[in-house]
Amino acid sequence: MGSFKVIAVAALVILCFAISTAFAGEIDILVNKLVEKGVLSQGEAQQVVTEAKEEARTEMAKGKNEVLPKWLQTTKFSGDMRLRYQGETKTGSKHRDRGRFRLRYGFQMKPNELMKVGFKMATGENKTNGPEQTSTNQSFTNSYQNKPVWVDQAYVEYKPFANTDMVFFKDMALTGGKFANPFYTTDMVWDGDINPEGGVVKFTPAVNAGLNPFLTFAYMPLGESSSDSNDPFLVAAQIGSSGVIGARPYKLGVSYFNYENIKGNAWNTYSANYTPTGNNTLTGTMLTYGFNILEIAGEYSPMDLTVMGNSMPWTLVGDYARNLAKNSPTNKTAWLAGMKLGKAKDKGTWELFWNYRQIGQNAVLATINDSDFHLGGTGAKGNKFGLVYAIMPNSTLGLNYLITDPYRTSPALTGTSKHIDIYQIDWVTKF
Amino acid sequence: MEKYRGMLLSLVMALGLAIPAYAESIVVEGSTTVLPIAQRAAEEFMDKNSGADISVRGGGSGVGITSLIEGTCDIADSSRPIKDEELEKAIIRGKAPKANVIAMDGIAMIVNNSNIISELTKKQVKDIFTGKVSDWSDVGGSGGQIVVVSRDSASGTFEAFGELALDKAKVRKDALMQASNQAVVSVVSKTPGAIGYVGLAYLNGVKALKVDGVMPAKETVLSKQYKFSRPLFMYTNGKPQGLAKEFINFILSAAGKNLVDEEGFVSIQ
Repeated sequence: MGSFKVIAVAALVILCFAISTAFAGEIDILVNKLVEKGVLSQGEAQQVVTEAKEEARTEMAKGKNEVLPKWLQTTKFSGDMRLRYQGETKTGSKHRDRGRFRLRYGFQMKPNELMKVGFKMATGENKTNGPEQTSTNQSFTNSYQNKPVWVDQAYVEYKPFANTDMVFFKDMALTGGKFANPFYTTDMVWDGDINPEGGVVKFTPAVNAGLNPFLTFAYMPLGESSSDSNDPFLVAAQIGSSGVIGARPYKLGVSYFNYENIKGNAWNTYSANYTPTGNNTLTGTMLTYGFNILEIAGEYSPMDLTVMGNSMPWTLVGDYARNLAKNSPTNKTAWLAGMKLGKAKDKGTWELFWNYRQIGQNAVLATINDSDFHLGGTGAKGNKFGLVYAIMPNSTLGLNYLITDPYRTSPALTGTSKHIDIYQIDWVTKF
Repeated sequence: MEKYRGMLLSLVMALGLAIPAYAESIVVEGSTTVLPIAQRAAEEFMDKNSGADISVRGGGSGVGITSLIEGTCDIADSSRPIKDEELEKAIIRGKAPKANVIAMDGIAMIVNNSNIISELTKKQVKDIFTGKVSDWSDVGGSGGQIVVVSRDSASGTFEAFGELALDKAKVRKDALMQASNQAVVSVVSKTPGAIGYVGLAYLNGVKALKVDGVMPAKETVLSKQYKFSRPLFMYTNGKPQGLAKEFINFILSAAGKNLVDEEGFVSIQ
């Protein structure tokens, strides 16, 4: 009954809006007639029409406030749907074709002026211990069996000083739960589908239009075991800035990811069933080395390029990561260099990107970096290309091509120690 | 004697009611575009009404509307209509913003006086400000990089320009963001490849461009032939009352219209 009431009042508001819109249209006609007859001047006509429209907006807002519950007024729903064809060719293995889909949907609501609550669901393969942390893809499989959805995000954000004039603290945000990755990074270190868990404090003081610094601290548990008090967790900090240098935009972030209790721990317990190859292990999936990663990520747009009559920003992208753990891990450096051109946003616009990367076997954590590049993990090098075209409003057609090879793995990895070509064709619609 | 005393008392009371009592003060805050009108109107109004105390501040349309919602000003100057989220916030706080249109304005496209360009289409303006075009030769000019100068995001002119000229698209990231109309004029007048946008009152020292063949001027703004035309507002909480009402009525009077025109804006006539 409660939801029926909400739907009924929502329909009433929509009806009121339609009536008020029609009313505004009639005012236009009437006022134009009065101008034609010389009763009103053009300026008076604009004044009357504008004030009437604004009055209608105010009345609408009042009506909405009276009939819709507060939580619904401040709630924003959003989501996206992706259809993907993925082809994979591994040297010495059979070619693999997969049809896949990804659905994500959720909402953000504001219970008060200082807080925000977010919730998002997403598809994902149902494996032995649940979904993969680095992928929300669901393959077309299992004879049309219904497919699961999982909690992708669930968090609360609090800005205690949002209503003050304190420059440094005004935009300080405290976030707890399972949330979007708070760090500026690339998928060489963090897969874009990762939604970490724990707590984050982020400072984004408003300095001026040319300099937007950000400072982030996070505590993110990786696992919890009733039989082990040394649960693994991540303590991380990032400092960075975005803005313009000589009228050209840039962004730079320097991060330190300090993983604790991760070396020699029962890694399988803490990474669900997703254990991509790469990092050296002792027995099973226990990591041989610790991970204390320094990352420097940045982008800079030195100029605009004119392509087919359209000028579009050309952006250089770079990322460098090194595992500074004390126990001398081997192959501990990873780097990425690439470029982006354009932005697929409005209908008819497009973007192109390319990057090359080398990921040392113990440079970054194999369970959380890009799950597409060399089919996930570390100890790989190669190129990633992409072309995206905005085919209609809120919808894009994209093509990705990844060409990868093993990179300095010791001992040699099984399964992914081959040349791998991956091509993906994506249709993405946002709503 | 009692009879005369009663008559005298009645006379004093009648006089008291007939003479407007301006032992009242109001705060006017907001748009830097509307600021020249508000300042000059306040000075002239207070000259004529010695008891009135009108304090005028700038800060931008968003600042003014926020102050109106929070109850720290009586009139919010704005060069754009109130946003939906601001309206929602105001209603939740028990306020009822009332739009009072006090003048019209055109957002003029300006370039350096040395620029050979004299007009642009609306599409060219959008392409330049969103980054699709970045060389003057692409829009009929003599070549060279276009330096885009914009108002900052707290400005109502920025919002109105985004709506009227850019169809709500974002201004390119490398645009030089300025805090006032005068600052935009200053940068454009000193930079040969620059283009910016300002209210009609700020055309000194720069070259205004036609848009879709129409020059920004009082006549074309009133007739809406000029596409980047907009109303200028003074928002009050509900229908204006007391000194706020008298002040707005003064701006809409013949004397007020004269000062609006003298400040370079378009009076409602």
